[in-house]
This record gives sequence, structure tokens and C-alpha cells, in this order.
Amino acid sequence: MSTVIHTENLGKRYRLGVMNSRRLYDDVQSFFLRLRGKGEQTLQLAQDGTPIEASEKKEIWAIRGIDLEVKDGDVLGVIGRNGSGKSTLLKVLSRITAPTMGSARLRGRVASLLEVGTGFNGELTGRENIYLNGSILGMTRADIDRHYDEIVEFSGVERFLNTPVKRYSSGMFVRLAFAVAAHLDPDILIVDEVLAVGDAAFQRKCLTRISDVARQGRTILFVSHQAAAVEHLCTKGVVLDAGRLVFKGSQTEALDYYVQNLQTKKVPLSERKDRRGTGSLRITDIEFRRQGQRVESFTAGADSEVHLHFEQVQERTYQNLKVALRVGTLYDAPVFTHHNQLNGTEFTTLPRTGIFVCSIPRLPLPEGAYRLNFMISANMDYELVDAVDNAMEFHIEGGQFFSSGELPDLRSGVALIDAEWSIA
Amino acid sequence: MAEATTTELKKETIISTESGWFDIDWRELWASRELIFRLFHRDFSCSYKQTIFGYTWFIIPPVINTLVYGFMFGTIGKISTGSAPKFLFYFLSVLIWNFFSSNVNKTAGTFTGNSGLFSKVYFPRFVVPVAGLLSNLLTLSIQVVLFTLIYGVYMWNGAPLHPGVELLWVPVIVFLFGVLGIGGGLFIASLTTTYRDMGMLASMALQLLMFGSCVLNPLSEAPAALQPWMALNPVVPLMETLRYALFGSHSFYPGYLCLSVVITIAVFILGLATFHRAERTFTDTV
Repeated sequence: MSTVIHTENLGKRYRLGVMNSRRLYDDVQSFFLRLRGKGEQTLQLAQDGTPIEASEKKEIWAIRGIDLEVKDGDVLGVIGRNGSGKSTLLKVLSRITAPTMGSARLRGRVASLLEVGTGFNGELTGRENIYLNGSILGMTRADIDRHYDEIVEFSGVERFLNTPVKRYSSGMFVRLAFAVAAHLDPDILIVDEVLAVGDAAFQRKCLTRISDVARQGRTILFVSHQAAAVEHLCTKGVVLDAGRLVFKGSQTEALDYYVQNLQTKKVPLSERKDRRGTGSLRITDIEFRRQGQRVESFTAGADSEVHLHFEQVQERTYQNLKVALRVGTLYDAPVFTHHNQLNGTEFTTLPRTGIFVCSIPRLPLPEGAYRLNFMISANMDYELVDAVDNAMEFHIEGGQFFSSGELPDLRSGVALIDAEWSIA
Repeated sequence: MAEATTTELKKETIISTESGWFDIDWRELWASRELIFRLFHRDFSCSYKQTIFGYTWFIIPPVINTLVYGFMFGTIGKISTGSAPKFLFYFLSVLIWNFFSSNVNKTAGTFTGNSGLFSKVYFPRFVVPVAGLLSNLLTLSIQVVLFTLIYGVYMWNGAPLHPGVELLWVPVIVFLFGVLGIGGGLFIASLTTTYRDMGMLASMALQLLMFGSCVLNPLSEAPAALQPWMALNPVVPLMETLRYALFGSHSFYPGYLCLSVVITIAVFILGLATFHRAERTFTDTV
């Protein structure tokens, strides 16, 4: 198998803050400084005219020293935290921006899909947009003609092809946009975050289509925050951290490396910065309890309680308050979701501080590592009050769920189901 | 083995930090002609959707502008248009100036107006100005049809118009106006990637330039002492030559025209080179 993507010492540097506030005055000033031989390190001056030290200059290497080799037919997952340089790498490889150092060679037709529906125009009809969007993505007229019927069928909007797409529902719009993208015929496909749009069914459709493309032996570079998708789709994986390539291997090895070395955040919940929601009520701490005792990990089959300590930052009333827990595996495959309203519990008046208690009898989950997200919403318009993804990671230890004491592991299934066997 | 051979034949993309001023990939631009056509089609067919007058909007504003200028400069300002009929004189000025200034403005807005698109997908960025030029050319040709009709009516009524072999200048001058407009626009576009006010500045400068470029008056009506200096402006000889070709009345200065051609080519090359440099990293700054 031949190498189709080869990068050597690839790097991209951004100047933070400076660019947006750049004025001619600063440029002229730095030009004269250079003329007087003061060199690069005094290019920037503080307000009072004193030079800023080079180290304080707001430069950031979004990616640095990336050596990557992708073989024909590889489906490479690019994994990393937010801001680790994944998107920058894809932008450089899809030629949206030029690198600051190093080089890359790509062999074959490259198509990048950083967004669904790029360049769609609301005034044009569905048919016109198929041709416009197709040619923006690099298809020739013959390509589009050949795939036209498939695109229309895939999108399911054949009745509206002569309607301007501004009259489409957002679902129809996204379906048509993805239908065009799905029929790209490149040698190398670069995909980023596309799966972040649309509902679950649409995301599944996208994933299925991408794995179809992968099965046709095309080379794919795939960035996703959904570790489950990477595990399912990719054959190889690389991990980026702070712009550096820190791991190369198979997709499962890369995910393991990522989970073990990079993902665990030991920041206390009350200090987490990645909260979403209006914040009038906040979860300050989460603890696990078993038989009234605080525990660090749960035990399969034991009666368990999750305690969400809350604090009202602003005292107010909530209608229809919904406190939801979502538990998933470390690879983000969902395991279960529960919220107070499922069993008809309403929280109407809240003390200033208190605890939401979620009791789970005979915890029906196998031994393994899990991750907990919570989301609190209120009112009829689903106002998001407080939510943290990956609020914490926890373990479930082996225990007695079945009478035999035997316990299937997480790989056999994410749930423990009580059942009886007999011969009839 | 067969597979290996086809791989060898596949196009190779090389991404590197080095870039010259002129290593523009013309083949890639030619390969994008379908996209050029699609963008042109989009511009054109979206312009006047959901309007009452539809495509007559290509005609109405220049006619009204012509009447206003004719009244302001011709009737009130008493500026002579020589032997050329007043309406035709101003109509010609309005058409060609619209063509020129919309080339500059559209091209200058290439980066700022398409940053959403450009930050998500790669295609040769030159595609956008070329598509803009095509749609400006189409607008101009629709207007030229009307101009020709009115020209014919004036001739029929005995106006002193004697179109001859000089008419061959017309396509040449239109071409030069296109090159100058695109070149200037490309240069401004490359400046807008760092200084956003360049776009605003440019459209203001264009308005001022119109008054200083003998667009609404023949060069002969300008103060005699200023005339040699004004003719250094590359637009002036182009305007004068166009009038000479169509009306026969105004002066034709080969020397100044040559200078204008040289400046036009220089501006175009400058624009091409700076745009090409800017396109590589503009998504970082816009």
C-alpha cells in the first residue's frame, strides 16, 4: 500500500489577539523599529512604549512538528481535546490555510467536508444548489450529472427540487446538503465535526455513509469528539495534545491512550469552566453513596444513590424542573439516561442549598469505567440551567447482580438484565 | 500492479510554506470553470429574484443616473459634450463607469464577503473575481443592447454620429477597463485581509475618482493647465478613446493611451501577486 498523505514537520502558528486589533499605525511603528535594527523581539510595544518581552508575545503554535503518514485505504481518526490542534491540522491539509512551517503531500483528489451545506444559497432551488454545492466541493459537472438521481433519492426531497431552499425546513436543508456531500468521489476525504449537526437519526445516516465510503477503500481523515464513532469507523488513530502528535497506532490503542493520559480532568466540579446554562442554580458536587456511606465507586447489583449537591446562585422559582443524568462509557457510547420526571417526581420549591438524590436499586451495569453527564433544565421552553459534560468519571466494581455471582463484562453489553431460563 | 500505476498518475497536491508571488496554478483555475459558471449563475439569478421589475433593474438605474447627470452637468452646469448627443454621452459614461467600479468593488470584497465559504472549503480563490467579472460583463452587455438601440435612434434622427472603423476600439477599451478594475480590486482585496477599512476607503475613493477622471465631462472641458496632469490618470485616456470611437468628437491621445495601458498592466500584475500572497493565510486574519 502506498502512502497517500505524508506530512513533514508540519506546523501552524497563530498570533493571538494581535491580528484583530492590527492597525496601520502598529505596522508602521514596527517597520521603523526594524529599520533601526531592533529586530523581531521588540516588534511589539506596550502602551508606554516599553518593549514587550518575546515570551509574552501572544503566539501560539496550533500544531507543531507533525509527521504523519497515511496509507492508501486507511481510515485515520484524529483524537484530541478541544484546542489540541485537530481542526487546524485538517484546515492545513485541506488547504484552507497555509502552514507556517513544514510541508505536506497528498496524492489524489482531495475533498474536505468541514461543514455540511457550505455555499448553499437560500434563493436558489434545490436543483441549482445541488450543482452549486457540488462544484464548490470539487465535483465536475459530469460527476454531478452521474450522481444526480442518487443524490435526489438520498435526500428525499424530490418533490421540492424546484423550490428555493430558503423555504425548506431545516431538516430538509441538512438532508439535501449531506446528500450532495455523501456523493463526493474523492481519493482522500477529510471530515470534521460534520456529525455535530442534525438529530440522532441523521448522525447515524452520516456515519453509515462514511463507513460505506471507507469500505470502498478510500482514505479518510476523520476528526470527531465522539470517541464511539472513531472506534467504530476508523482503522488507525493518532492523538494530538497541545499541537503535538503524541501517539500513533490503531484506533483502539489511540483511544486508550487518549482516555488514560489526556482525558481525566481532576478539576473539582465547582471550578469547572465548561458549564453550560444560565447558571441560576449550580451543581457544586457529586457524590456516590451506598447504604448511607459515601463511596468512591459503585458496585454492580448494589442499591446505589447519586447525590447532586446544588446551590441556588439566584433564588427563583422553576416550573417543570428537570434534573437529568446521562451515563455513558468512556468512549461516549450512551448507557442510560434518567431524570426526575420519568417517574413523575416534580421539584417545585427548592431550598437555597440542597441535594438532588437519585436512587438506583440493584445497579444493573457491568464492571467497568463510566462517565457521568448531568443537565438541569426548566420551564416549558427548556431553559438550560446548568449542565456539565463529563462531570465525572467513575468505576463500577464487580458485585453480585445475578444469583450465580457471575458477571458479564462491559464488552458483552452495557446493561445487566434480569431474566429466567426454562424449557417449555 | 495496475492499481499502483493508477496511483502514480494521480494528481499530487503539495502544501508548503514557500510561495512565490506568481506561482499561480492556472491549470487548477481552468479546471474550476464549472464552479466559475455556477457562481456566476448564482450571482446573476439571485440578483433580482422576488422583485417587481425583475431584470429591468439592469436598465432602470443607469437610465435614471444618466438623466440626473445630464440635468446636473449638462443643463445646470452647462458642460459641453461636443457633437455627441447629451443623453448618449452621459449614458456611455454611466455604463462604463458602473462596469469599472463594480469590478473594483466586487473584487475588493472577495475575502471579506466570502470568509464563511473560504474558511470551510478550498478552491482556487481567483474563481470568485472571475465569476464577478463575468456577471459584470453580462450586465454591461444587456445595457449595451439598449445603448445601441438609442444610438441607432439618434442616427436615424440625423445626429452627427458616423460610426466607422474606430468602433474596433470599443472592445479593447472595455477589456482594459475590466483588467484595470479587476487588478485594482485584487490589490484592495489583499489589503482588506489585514485592514478591513480598505474596502470602505476604496469605495469612497472610487466615487471621488469618478469626478477626477473625466467621466462626466470631456477632458477638453477641464482647465487647460490641468489637462496634461489629468491625462496621467489611466482612466482618462480610456474614457476619451471610447468617446472618440463612438462619437468621433473627442480627442484621441495615443501617448497617454499607451501610458494608461502600461499602468493598467502594472496594476493588474500587482493585484494578482498581492492577492495570491494574501489568499494563503487570509482565513487566519479575516
